[in-house]
Amino acid sequence: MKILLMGNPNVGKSVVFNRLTGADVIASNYAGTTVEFTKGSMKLDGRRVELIDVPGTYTLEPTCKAEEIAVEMLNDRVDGDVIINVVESTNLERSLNLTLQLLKRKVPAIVALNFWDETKHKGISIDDKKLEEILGVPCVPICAVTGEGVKHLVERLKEAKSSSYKYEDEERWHEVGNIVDKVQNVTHRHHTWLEKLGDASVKPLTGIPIAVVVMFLAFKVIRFIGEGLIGYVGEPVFEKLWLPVVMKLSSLMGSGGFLHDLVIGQLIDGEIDFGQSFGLLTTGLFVPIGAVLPYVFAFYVVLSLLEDSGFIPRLAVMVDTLMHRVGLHGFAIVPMLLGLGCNVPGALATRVLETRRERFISATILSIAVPCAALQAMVVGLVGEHGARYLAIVYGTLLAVWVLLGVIFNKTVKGESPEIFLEVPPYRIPYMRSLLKKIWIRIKWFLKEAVPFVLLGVLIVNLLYTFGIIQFVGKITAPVVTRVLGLPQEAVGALIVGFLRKDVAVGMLIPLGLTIKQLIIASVVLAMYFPCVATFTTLVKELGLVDMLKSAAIMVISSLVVGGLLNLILP
Amino acid sequence: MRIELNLNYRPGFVDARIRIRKKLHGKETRMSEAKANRLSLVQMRSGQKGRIVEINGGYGLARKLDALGIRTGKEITKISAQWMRGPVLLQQGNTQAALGFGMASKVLVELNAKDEK
Repeated sequence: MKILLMGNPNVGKSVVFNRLTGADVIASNYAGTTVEFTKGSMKLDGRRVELIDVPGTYTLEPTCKAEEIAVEMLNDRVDGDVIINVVESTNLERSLNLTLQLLKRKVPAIVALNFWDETKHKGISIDDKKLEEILGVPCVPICAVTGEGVKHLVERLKEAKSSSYKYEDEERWHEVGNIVDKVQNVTHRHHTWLEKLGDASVKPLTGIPIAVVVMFLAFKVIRFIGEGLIGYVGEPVFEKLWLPVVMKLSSLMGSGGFLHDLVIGQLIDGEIDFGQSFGLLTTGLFVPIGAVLPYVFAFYVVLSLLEDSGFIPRLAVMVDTLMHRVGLHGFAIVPMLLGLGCNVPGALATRVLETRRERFISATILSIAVPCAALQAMVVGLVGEHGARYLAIVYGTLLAVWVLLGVIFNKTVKGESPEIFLEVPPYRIPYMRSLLKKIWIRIKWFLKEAVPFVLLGVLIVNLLYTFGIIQFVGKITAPVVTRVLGLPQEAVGALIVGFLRKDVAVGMLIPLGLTIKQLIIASVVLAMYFPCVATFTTLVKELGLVDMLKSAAIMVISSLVVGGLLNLILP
Repeated sequence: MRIELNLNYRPGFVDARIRIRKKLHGKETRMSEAKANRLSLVQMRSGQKGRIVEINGGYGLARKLDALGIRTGKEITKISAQWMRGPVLLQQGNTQAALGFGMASKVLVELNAKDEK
């Protein structure tokens, strides 16, 4: 037996899902497509049943890819499967449009009237008994965020049945209207402060300052959490607890030799330096866990908060006009924001854009000019210690490149860029458990992706050095690297490793003793010249090989141009 | 009755905007058509309420809007519009939706009588 959770987008489906399922939640792609859904299981009368969170849909006559999948998943059900139709009580009319379509399919269904508590604030009263009578399926008021009514919903799951409600398709809205008239009573009420804030943040005069303040605070909070974790957790753990362990291991291995250098790395003045030693157990662990993870965690806490509160769609509306200048619409801000965490989810999120032109533009400017948290954490550490203004040059250059390339693409890339069209859900206080679960899934994903690749990167760096390959490639590429970019030959090693992990690549710059000018150029070029291998494979899948090759050519050329210009301009 | 009330009404600043737009973009039917009592979402002022009388786009636009419960005959409120031909935000019931400028100009609305003044 399967249970399908279906409903409009933004009706708290995932909160219901989190209430019903345990920890065994997995996000996966629907076979052969790029639409993601989550799957879990719950206990029902002593047996495990599968629970699927179907992508949100407004209608069973699909208007986009995600809705097509929702319909397909509905068609794939077998006898005995049950639909839980999650309905937004404060938006009964719109929700019932889908409910009636579901009932027509003659599937065993049960309706969960979510946000029941909100109806009171909004002056809405709904007669759930009467609704149940009319629809012919159980209707259970719930408030998923507090958990109220969820138990009752589970108890009544076995009462789910197919309805005999009949109507003509052309008359559906009319039917919905009739039902709403019968069961719902709306009285006058005052706007809640969340609604007032919601409206204020989409009006230009108030919305622009609000957006600026929110983004500024987001940035501050990320730095506060990130630096705090590094200073009070990361460094103490590595310096006080881990250092003695690896020092002992180092002396056991004889403080030198091939294997020692691989595992522990080079000793700097007889000491292990987590930034420079470059062994698997030293730098290999310190970079992903000690230096990068704190920022990744901080970033995902803030991003998840912004997502679950309903700020992102409003931001999308506010930046729409600007995004049109680079050939995209407001919603393309989503892949860019995600990309600031890691380019892979950012690249995946370009799917929300409809046309090939939009996907090409967004994926290309994303992987060129949006640095991921791992790269940023290292750059902030390395360049930032020379002063914030140098950091500003790095970020300013990347932003300028983002805008400039976007404007050029907008003029040259063929195809259409459609307009923005999206529902703007009300502001809501995020539900903690969903929020934590989301952050946890993202962190888990980062650790699984990053740690092995960093270790592999460190391993390869050591092998390449041992066999003299980096020195060799350095000599070949010297004209470009030294003349155009003004970097020492050894920096080529960082560019090679940057393909594996950009954070490791920045780490490789530390022992080179670069000037601040060289550090700035190296940081910008590392961000731009090519995506890391994880992003690269994702982009090949998303764009296709041909478009990806075009995109890659643009990356290499633009990074050389920008790096060369910086070399000329900077004193 | 309604026709009488709506006769030739257009707020002054809309007129000014139409003149400027005409200068900038040449003749634009969506701005100049302003059939007395019918305004597009773009021409409405933020905060005004009205009833959708026509969705002038193709089947796709009508269907997308319909899925959100926004269709001919529905009462809507314009919440805001972004500067420089940015998207329009409207509210229908408890649903808010943002439409790009082009789409918004294809949705025609008849203003509520009390909002006319």
